[in-house]
Amino acid sequence: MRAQGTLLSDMGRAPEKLNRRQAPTAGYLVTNHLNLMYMLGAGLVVPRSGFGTKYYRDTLDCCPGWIPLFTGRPRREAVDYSLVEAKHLKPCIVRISMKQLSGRVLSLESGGLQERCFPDEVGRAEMLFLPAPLPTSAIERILFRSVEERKACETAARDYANVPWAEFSTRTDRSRFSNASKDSWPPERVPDSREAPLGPAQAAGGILAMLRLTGNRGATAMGDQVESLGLSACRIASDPPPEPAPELADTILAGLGSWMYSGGGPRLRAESISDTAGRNAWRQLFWGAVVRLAQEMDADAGADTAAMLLDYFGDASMRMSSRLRERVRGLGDDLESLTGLGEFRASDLWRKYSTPLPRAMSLLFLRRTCAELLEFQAPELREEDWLAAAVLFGARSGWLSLPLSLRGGPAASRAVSHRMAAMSHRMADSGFELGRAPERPKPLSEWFLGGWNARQHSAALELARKQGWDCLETRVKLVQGDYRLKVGRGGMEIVFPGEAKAVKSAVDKDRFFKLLAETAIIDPKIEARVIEKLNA
Amino acid sequence: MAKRRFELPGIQDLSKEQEAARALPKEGQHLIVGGPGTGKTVLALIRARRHARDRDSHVFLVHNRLLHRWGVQLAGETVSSTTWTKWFGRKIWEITGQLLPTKGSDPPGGFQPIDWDAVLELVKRVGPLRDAPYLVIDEGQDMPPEFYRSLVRLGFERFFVAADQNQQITDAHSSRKDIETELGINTKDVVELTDNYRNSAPVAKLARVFYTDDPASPRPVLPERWGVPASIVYYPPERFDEICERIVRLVDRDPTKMVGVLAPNNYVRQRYLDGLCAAEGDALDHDPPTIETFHGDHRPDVRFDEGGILVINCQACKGLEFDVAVLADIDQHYYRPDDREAAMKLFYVMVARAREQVVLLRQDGAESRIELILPRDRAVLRKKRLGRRKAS
Repeated sequence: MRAQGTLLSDMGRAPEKLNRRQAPTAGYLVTNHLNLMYMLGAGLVVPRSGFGTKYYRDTLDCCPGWIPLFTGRPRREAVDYSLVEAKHLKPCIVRISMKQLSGRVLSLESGGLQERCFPDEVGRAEMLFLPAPLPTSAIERILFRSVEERKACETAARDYANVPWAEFSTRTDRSRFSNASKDSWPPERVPDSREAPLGPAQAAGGILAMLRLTGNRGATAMGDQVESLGLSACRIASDPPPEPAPELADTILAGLGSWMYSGGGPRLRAESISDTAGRNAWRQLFWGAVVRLAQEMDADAGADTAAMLLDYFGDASMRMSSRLRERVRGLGDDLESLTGLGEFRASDLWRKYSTPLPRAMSLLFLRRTCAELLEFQAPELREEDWLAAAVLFGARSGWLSLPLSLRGGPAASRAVSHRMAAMSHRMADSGFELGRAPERPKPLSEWFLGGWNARQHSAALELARKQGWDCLETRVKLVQGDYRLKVGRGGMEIVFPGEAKAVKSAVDKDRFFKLLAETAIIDPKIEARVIEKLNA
Repeated sequence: MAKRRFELPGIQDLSKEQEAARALPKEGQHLIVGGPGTGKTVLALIRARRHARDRDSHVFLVHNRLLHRWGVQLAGETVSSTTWTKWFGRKIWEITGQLLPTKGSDPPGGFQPIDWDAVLELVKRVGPLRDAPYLVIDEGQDMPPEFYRSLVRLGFERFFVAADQNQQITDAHSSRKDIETELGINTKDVVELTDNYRNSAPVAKLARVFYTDDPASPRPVLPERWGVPASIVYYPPERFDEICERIVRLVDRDPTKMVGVLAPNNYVRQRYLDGLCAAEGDALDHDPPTIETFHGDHRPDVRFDEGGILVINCQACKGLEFDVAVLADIDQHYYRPDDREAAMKLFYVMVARAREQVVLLRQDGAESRIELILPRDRAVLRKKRLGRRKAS
C-alpha cells in the first residue's frame, strides 16, 4: 500500500526563511479509536512499528517512522482508510500542539515533499511529516464525528487498565469530518521510512514510574535533610546529567544516568563486559540485562524474558574469568531452581547472595508484575536491592504495560511521556526538539523533605487521614475551668464552659515516613490531592 | 495474605480477534469459541463488568460453584454471577410458580437430572418475558441445547456465550452447532479465538499433545511465553511427604501464586490434602499458605483472589486457572483403551489450567496404562525421578 516517492528527489529547492508566525501551531492526525487508545496507553504518538501486532491501518501506514499531520482539513480518504480493517473501528482526529516543537520535518507542499526546519521554514503546507515519536502530552484534543461515537470510545476505554482517557480533552466536531478535502489518500509523495527507537523509550518510562514508586522505600532513612539513594536515583533518571552522578557512583545504579540519556551504548553491551574487578562486572552485567529487556520490547516477542536473561548470562559469562564465569553460571542455576518444585526458600538465596544483582534478578523470577514487586516486603533486602529490582521490572514492563494506578496521575504521565519521546529522538539523533520538559515526577517522600512548612504539614495530615495511618496526634487547648468527662458507647466527651482555644493536629514524622516507606501503592487520586496541597 | 486480583487487560493485551469480540454490540446473540487460554472468560468478564457498570439487568452464568466464586472474587461483587442450574431453577419458579422438573435419581437420593422435555412443555405455556436480562454465559458448551431452547422460548434475546467444544467434560453438553442453531447465530458471525494467552509455551506444548482436533473449536496457536519446562516426577512412596513440602515451598516463594493440585479421585485428593497440611509446619519465609479443598458437600469459601493451594478432583477444574497445575498421582487415573479420547480430553483440560507451569506426579513402580497417552518427547515432558530414601 505504500505510495512511491522519495524525499531526496524533492529536495532540490533551497528552503526559504519564513516568518515564524506563519508556521502552523497545531496539526491533525487521522486515525481510528483503537490505534488512538493504544497510543494513549503507550504515552507516545508512535509510528506504525510501535503497535506490535495490534496495528489497524490508518494514516501512519504510509510513512513508517513519521507522524503525518494535516495542517488544515484532513482528506476524506484518509479518514476512510483508517477504518478499512474492521467494522467496529471509529474514526478520530487528534489535534496535536506543535507550539513547543522544532527541528527538521518534511512538508507536503503543492504535491511535493520538502525538508524544512520547523517552525522557521514552514509556511503553507498541506501536511507535515514529523519524526516519530511525539509525546502524548502534546495532544490538545481528540475529535469525534458524533456524540455516540465519542461516548462509545469513552466506554471502551474503561475496558482497559492502561488507557488514561480522562486525561485528554475530547470533543464532537462533525464539520472536521464532513468538510474533509476530497484529495486522494495516500499522497503521491511520502517520506522514506526511518527508524524510531521505541523499546528503550518504553523501558525508560517503566523505569521512571517504578523508581518514583520505589523511591519512598528509603523514606525512613532519609531524616529531614539527607536525600536517600532512591530519591537520587529518581532525580537522575528523570533528568540525566551528561556526567556520571557521584551520588550513585558506588552502587549498581551507577549506569542509570547514562542509560536514561542514551538508552544504552557500547560500554554497557554484553559483548563488552570486561573481565575486571567482580563488582564492576556485576554492574555491567546488570545494565546489559536492562539493554536486553529494552531490546526485547522493540522485538515484541512476547514475555520470554526469563529465558532470554538466562541465555544472556550464559553468553556474557563466556567473556569472563573462570572464577566469575562459575559465579554467573551458579547464579543462573539458582534462579532457575526458584521456579520449579525446588527445595530452596527465597531467603536461602538472599542469604547466599548479598549483592543487588542476584537479589534483583531473583525478584524478577519470583514476581510477575510491577504491582507485585511493590507490594512485596522482605526485610533481608536493602534499598539498593529494591531499586535495582525496580529498574529491571520497569524495563521489562515498559510504560505501556503499567496500569493507571502505577502511573502517578496526569502530571506524572505528561512528564514521563515527554522524557520517553525525548530519549527516542536522542537515540535516533533526529535533531528534533520537543521543547521544555514538564517538571519531573517525584516520589511522594521527596515532597516532604526538609523542615516542614505549613503546606507540607497540611499535606502530610491529608495523606495520613486518607490512608488511615496511625501517626497523628491532636492537642486541644482549653480555658481554665471545670470539665466533665462523659464516657458513652460512641467514645469519650469532655464538656466545659466556653470554647476550646485551639485544636491542633500534628504528625509524628518518624512514623509518617515509616508508613510512607511501607505503603506500596497510594491511590493516584489521593496522591494528586496531596500534591495539589503541596503546590497550593 | 497475598492478594491476587482480576486486572483489566491493557490495550496491548487484547488481540485483534479479541477486540472483535469485545466490540460486539450489547444487543443480539453472540458466540465466541476458542480453546483454553484464548481469553474467552476474560472477554465474558469484561462484558459482565460493562453491564454492571452501566447498571444493566444482567447475569453471568457459569457451570459450577467453583467457577462462580472464581468469577465473583476476581471480577468484583458488582457482577451478578451464579451457576446456570441455580439461576435456571429460580427463573422457572418465578415464571411458572413450579419447581424445575427433574427425572428420578438412580440410585435413589442421588443426582436428579433435569427433565428437559417437561421443562420445554412448561415454558410453552407461558408467554415471553418482558425486559429479560442480558445473559453472559461462560463455558457455554456445558449447558445442554434444551437450556438455550427454553431461554429463547421464554423471550431471552441477548446472549454472549463463550464456549469450547474441546473442553466438554459433562455428559449433557452442547456442540458449537447446537448453540448456533438454538440461538439463531450464523456460523460466519461466530468469533473464533485462536491465540493462547494463558499458558506458557511449555504448558501449551504439553496441552497440544492431548488436543483431540475437534474442527468445531479452532486449534490454539502456540504461545511464545517462557515457562518452566513441563515435567513428570516419579517419586517413591516414602518420599510423598517431601513432594508435599516442595509444593508448599513453591507457594511460599511467591505467596500470590495459586497452585491447583488436581486429583484423579477422592482418595488421592484427601491424601494430598492431608500431606500438604502436614507440611505446613516446616520452616517457611511467610505464613503457611492457605490449603483448601472443594468437593461434594464440603464447599468452603475458596479465596481465588489470594494465593494458596487448592486440592480438587480433576472433574471440577474446568474453567479455573492456576499459576501452577500439579496433576497428582496420574497413575491412579482410570484408562479405557477403547475410549482413549476421554482420557486425552481430561488431560487436555487439566494441563491447560496452568498459566506458568505444569507438574505431573506419579508414584514410582505403580502399574498404570495412562502413560500410553503421555508424550515421549523430552522436550515436551521432562522426566525426573526422586531416588529411594537411603536407610539411615
